[in-house]
Amino acid sequence: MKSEPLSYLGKDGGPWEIFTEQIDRVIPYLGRLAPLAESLKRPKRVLIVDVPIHMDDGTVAHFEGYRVHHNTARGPAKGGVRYHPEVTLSEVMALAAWMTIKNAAVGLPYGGGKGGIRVDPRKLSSHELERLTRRYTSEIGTFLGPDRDIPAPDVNTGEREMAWMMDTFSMNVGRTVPGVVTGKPIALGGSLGRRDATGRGVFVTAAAAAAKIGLPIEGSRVILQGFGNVGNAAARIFHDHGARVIAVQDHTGTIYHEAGIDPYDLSRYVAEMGGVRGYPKAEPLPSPEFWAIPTEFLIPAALEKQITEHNAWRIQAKILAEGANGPTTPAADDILQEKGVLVVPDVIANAGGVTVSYFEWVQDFNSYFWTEEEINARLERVLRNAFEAVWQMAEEKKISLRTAAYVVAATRVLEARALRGLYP
Amino acid sequence: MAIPAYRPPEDPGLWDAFLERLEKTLKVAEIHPTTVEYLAHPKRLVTVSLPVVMDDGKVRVFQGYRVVHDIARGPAKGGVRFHPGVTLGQTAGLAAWMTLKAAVYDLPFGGAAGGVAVDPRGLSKRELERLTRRYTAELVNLIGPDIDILGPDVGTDQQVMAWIMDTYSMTVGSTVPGVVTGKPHALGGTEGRDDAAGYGVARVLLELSQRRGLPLRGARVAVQGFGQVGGTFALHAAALGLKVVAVSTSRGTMYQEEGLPVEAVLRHYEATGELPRYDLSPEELFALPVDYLILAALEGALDEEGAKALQAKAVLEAANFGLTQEAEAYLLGKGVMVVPDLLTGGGGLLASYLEWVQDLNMFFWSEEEVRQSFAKSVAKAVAEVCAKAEALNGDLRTGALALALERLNEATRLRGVYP
Repeated sequence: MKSEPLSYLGKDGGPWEIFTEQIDRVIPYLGRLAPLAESLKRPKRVLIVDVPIHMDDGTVAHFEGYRVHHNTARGPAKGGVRYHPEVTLSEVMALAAWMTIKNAAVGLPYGGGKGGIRVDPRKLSSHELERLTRRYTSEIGTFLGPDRDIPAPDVNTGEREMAWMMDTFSMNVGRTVPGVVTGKPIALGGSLGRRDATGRGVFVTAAAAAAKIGLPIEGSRVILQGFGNVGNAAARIFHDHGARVIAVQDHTGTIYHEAGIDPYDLSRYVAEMGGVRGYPKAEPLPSPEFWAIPTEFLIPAALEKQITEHNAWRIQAKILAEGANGPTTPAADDILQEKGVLVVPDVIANAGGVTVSYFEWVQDFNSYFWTEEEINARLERVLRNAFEAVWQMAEEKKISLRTAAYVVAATRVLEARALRGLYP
Repeated sequence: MAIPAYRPPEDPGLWDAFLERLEKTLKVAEIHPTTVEYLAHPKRLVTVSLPVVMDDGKVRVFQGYRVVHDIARGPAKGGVRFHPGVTLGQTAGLAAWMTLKAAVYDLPFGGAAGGVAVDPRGLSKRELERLTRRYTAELVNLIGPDIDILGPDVGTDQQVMAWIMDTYSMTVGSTVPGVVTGKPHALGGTEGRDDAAGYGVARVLLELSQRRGLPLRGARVAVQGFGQVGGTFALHAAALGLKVVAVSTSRGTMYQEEGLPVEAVLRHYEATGELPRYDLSPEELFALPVDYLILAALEGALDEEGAKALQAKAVLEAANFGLTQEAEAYLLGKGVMVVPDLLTGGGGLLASYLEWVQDLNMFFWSEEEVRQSFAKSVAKAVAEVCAKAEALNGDLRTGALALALERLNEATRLRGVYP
């Protein structure tokens, strides 16, 4: 029986519609599981909450909060919480669904979830933010728990917010529950290796792709867009493995040095100056020229939709590993495929963060904490396995790694769904 | 019967067999009377009526059971059997046997067993699902990863375990893979589970051959029963360099003096349900000139008559209660080594334990890690059973039973009687 469209979304489906279109595109590859794909187009639960708080001036302000569990066939829901004035339900639903896909593609025992509050956090004082976070946590409390739903940081939330959430949840249930959120400070049960996790994952998956096409890391060239947490770590780890970082672009400008830039030295410069512009040991370059630099690896690690049909045709890299979420538009994807650029998609390339979140949650269960070496070795193993499964699928079905990642993920989710059956 | 004990309403079957073994072991092991009282009375026997809407719209009511025998050493653990012959007495006996098996392997579990009196082949898949879900729902307050953990047994498989996990999880409101073991890999099952029972038998044989100086490479083996246990054992035995010369099913025996191509035979059996050919009757397997006989079929498979024809140096009881007591007495008198079910048949339980541990942590091991931990536990169990048997100057069954009862005795004493 054909199901009705979701009544609670308006005519303009927004990001959620993009997700359901993506699912439609992989249905032909799902074989006997295809009839179950409808369940991916229906979020399991959607919660909208009013979050009233006392402002510092004594007035009461109301904010709109969301928490969505997209799918829990493979385990408890997992996904971040973002604070942004433009957050919509459709966006949170889509982000939750993408977490389902990412967690399944990597092979983590999680479903997908996401949450958010429509708020501009820069307009709130730290006390107001704390009250907002605590009230939101209480309102969605019955949804949360280490075996139900585990939030994490996202846009405009970080260690501080996670600590408040952990404390609020723990006080409400009457005992300390560190495993209810990840991305906590180390002192509250956070994990080592978190800071570099996403950048390390970019390196691991890019290196796995390079091994498949016989490209050595040693002596290869790397260019990065973005030198924040992800780009910085990826640059250092490539450098440590004998690669040469020859260009970096950020919001302040583009720098280039054919003989190689020392990312450790650049990090110190950026920490002081706020950007790469004016770095003395490299030459400045007009920003549009960045994309045309001859290189082996290109790492977009900044914002979404950076690689479009306008610049994709200039790209000379052999491997493009997506450190950012959605940096490549579908039109650019087609051009890159035609040019033979191997694209390692965001779903697995930037999954290092959620993987270490997973490790944090495992450690919290046991209250037994691993060394950074143990974490890095396990991260590498998880992501290599993830890449290998996606690569095999791409070879088998003659499809891109991006499509293959979706096929692998959807197959895993629906397989679990089929095994669990329809309750009751 | 000297011990005052629980009496099942009908068909005491395996429960009596357990009591007999218990009583016999009390002659050699020092067990406090309180422990004996506990073990002679299952902690909890549950009978549930299971109404199921059949595909034709009619409602049929099935009888379900769950027995928790003892929890002194940890949460109860045991399989779920779907078979027309399931009774309360049989379930109680199997539960008690799980208590002992977990203690032999030093796993932190008590013993349980459950089942439904039903022929699952007579149900459609949808009916089987509804039956499983209703059974789980009826027990939902009595089971859980720290209360009673279910697992597969005769007539139940990975899919049934997945339904149990889903029903339990939906009812309590959170995903709880650890309530049941033997799940598919996609839902928190463990690596190395599919062949765990056979792998366990092979590891036991390997460890014993090293301890007791028995031949291994090139030694000849006959395997009775070619199901889940017998088939995977044959593969691992071949990998260890043993020569599998005969395998049998209820239809007959396939025999090849220079050794069978195990993999090809297994493939053929999996595809057709038949062995490639039948050279001998099922019973003639027992009389073959071999070093080892593996009993991997049903209980009571080897009786005294079969035992008299036996040429093997050792009999490994992979199925529970594989030998009759008369057959065992005869073989021990002749100096044949009998490796008891509590030791030989522990592989499935051991794999279940490793799965449960991984589920509690939600952190999953590689196949090598599972195999390593598995092999270590088998080696430890074999060493401890042998040591106990030697200390008592007795056979391995006596050693295994005494070891288990002493461990249960210690746990029961330390916990005391509540309240």
